[in-house]
Amino acid sequence: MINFQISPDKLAEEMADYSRKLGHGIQNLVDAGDIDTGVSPRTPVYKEDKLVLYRYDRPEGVEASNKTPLLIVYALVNRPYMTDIQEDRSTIRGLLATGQDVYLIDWGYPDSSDYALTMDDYINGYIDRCVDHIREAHGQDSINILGICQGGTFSLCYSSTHPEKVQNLVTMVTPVDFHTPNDMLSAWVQHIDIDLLVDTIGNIPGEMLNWSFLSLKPFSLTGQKYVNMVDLLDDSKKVKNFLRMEKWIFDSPDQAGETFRQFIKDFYQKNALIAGEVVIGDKMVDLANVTCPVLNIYALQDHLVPPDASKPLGGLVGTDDYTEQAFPGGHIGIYVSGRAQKELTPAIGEWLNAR
Amino acid sequence: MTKNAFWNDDWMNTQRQYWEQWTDMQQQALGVRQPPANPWEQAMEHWWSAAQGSVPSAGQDFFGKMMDQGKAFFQMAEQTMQAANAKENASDIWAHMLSGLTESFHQTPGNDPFKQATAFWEMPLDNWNRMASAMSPVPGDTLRGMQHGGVKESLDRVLGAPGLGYTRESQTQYQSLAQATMEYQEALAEYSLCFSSIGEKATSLLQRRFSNTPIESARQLYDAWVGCCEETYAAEVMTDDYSKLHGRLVNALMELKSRWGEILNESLSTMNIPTRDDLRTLQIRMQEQRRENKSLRSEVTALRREVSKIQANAAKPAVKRAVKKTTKKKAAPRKKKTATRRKTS
Repeated sequence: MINFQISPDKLAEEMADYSRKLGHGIQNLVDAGDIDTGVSPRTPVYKEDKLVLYRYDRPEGVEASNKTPLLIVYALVNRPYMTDIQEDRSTIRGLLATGQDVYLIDWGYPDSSDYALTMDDYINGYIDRCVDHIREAHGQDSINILGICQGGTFSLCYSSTHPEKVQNLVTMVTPVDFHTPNDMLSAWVQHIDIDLLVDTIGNIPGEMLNWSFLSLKPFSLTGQKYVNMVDLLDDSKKVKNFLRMEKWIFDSPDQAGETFRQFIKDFYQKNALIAGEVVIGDKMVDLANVTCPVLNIYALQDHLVPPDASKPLGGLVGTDDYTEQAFPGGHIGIYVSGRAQKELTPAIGEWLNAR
Repeated sequence: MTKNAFWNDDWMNTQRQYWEQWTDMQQQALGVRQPPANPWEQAMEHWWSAAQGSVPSAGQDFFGKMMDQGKAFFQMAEQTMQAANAKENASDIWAHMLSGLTESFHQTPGNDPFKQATAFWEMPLDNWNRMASAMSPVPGDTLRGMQHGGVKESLDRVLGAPGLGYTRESQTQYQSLAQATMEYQEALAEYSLCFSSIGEKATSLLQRRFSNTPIESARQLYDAWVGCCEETYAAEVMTDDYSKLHGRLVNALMELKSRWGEILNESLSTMNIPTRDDLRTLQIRMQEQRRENKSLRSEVTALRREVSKIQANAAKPAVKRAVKKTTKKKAAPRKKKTATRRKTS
């Protein structure tokens, strides 16, 4: 038996309350002004096409406890300022605090002139030249790499084909097995004719990727979260944080057509990475060649890269020094949550400093 | 009383009084006309249309979403409450609401009282239409309402007939375009139907889950509805059937866009304007050259380093020799100089 206890008075009061919150909150929205992202001071040290390699300034009073520099390789999807989105929520700031010398690749926004960029261009071209630049600048034979999401998959390919240049590898929310049962994105692309898609539209528009990501949880991500936000509208700081996340979510660069073609066909459709059948340029990717120490971090509530998609890495890499860390959070919370700032980033720093 | 530039409580009270008086007046004077279905919604819309000019464009979208969602969950609660007023016991209310939702999934948009609640299920479709619009010369939902069911077979036969004569190629292109259009319509209709079916399942889940739980607020009802929708959706979209449907929809849109592109390319060619194919060739060649340039540049850099090393290595003994020779040479003139001096002196 259903027990409805919504009386007209109660409903009218609830409506008035909602309206009042909206009405008061609009002032905070107007006052929010420009939304700033990417807060830590940094210097561009290398540029190539649309790529910019940044080196982050070490905060005053923090000593370099690790002489091996760290390169962050972010995904091509969305923008890398997620790792430094605001002062109190910054993976980069946390890594700097542990004494790392942090570099980050900003891929920029590919346009139609970048349509024919391949995974070979990205991995054996851009990443390799950035690594060489850092190695030379620091007089080191090898450096540390932290790969995030798709950037983690790229970093694995790179570490497999250029093992001599990678001292330690950290992968965060990185897909390795693309055919796990709860991988929604993977299920959806299995019957898409990727050749037809890429041949027809060339670069893959950011709007298409947004559609895919929002479709993972459409009612929460395009509806309920805005209702929840009404309760927070009277807090100007929370409004600004929310708008910052909104900006990041919809700031989706287009994907170079040829790279998208290979990534979806070889990785998502054929699951060729774990089968050792991926070829990047003229180099075969065999994860057994990854012999450097590996720290693999995944998020337990990740709806984009489920833990099961990341965990098989341990059985595939050729190193004896493999560490796995589960983080209680989601795909985004792993960078921006308070817990990540307190626990995860210092743990990465410690792991690197110990090696 | 709280005031800011956009809102004060007086305004809310005035609005409430206005609607109450207006409703009373209508009921007394006109008799036959019904009061507005959602005075709250209409009052909010009036307010929003006045206030939105002052909100930055980035915030307008964000605020509009909060408005829309507010309307959705209040209308759902309002309908439920009205049903509660009309029915005698709670199980009737629940049955009315659920059957209303279920019927709503089968109705075309119109005067459907549950349209806000089921419009919620338009979200994935709406997202798709927005995305399709961004990639098409026509709005993404243009083809959605077109009916072709009864005539498809005969149209297929007509469109499958070979073209004839001088314009044969052109006829074939337009036939392919028409076929691709029909295929896309069909895929979109099937996709839409799938969501209706998922919506019905979500309604059943809501019924099962909350059969013994008191619903005390509009917000609780909305959150429960979202939870059931999300749970049902997550299970359904992981099936192979859905994966095929999803693939069919994307492929059909691409096929349609590809056929459009062919016709556009023809037109551009006749005007001597570069086509997409021309640009694609240039893009590929440009990247090949860029790749080759980079490879050559790094080779040159490597060679320079090698040369520098060789020069440095070669310079080391040469310096030693040069130092020795210089010593000898320097020594010699001194002697000569001395000798000269001696001679001079």
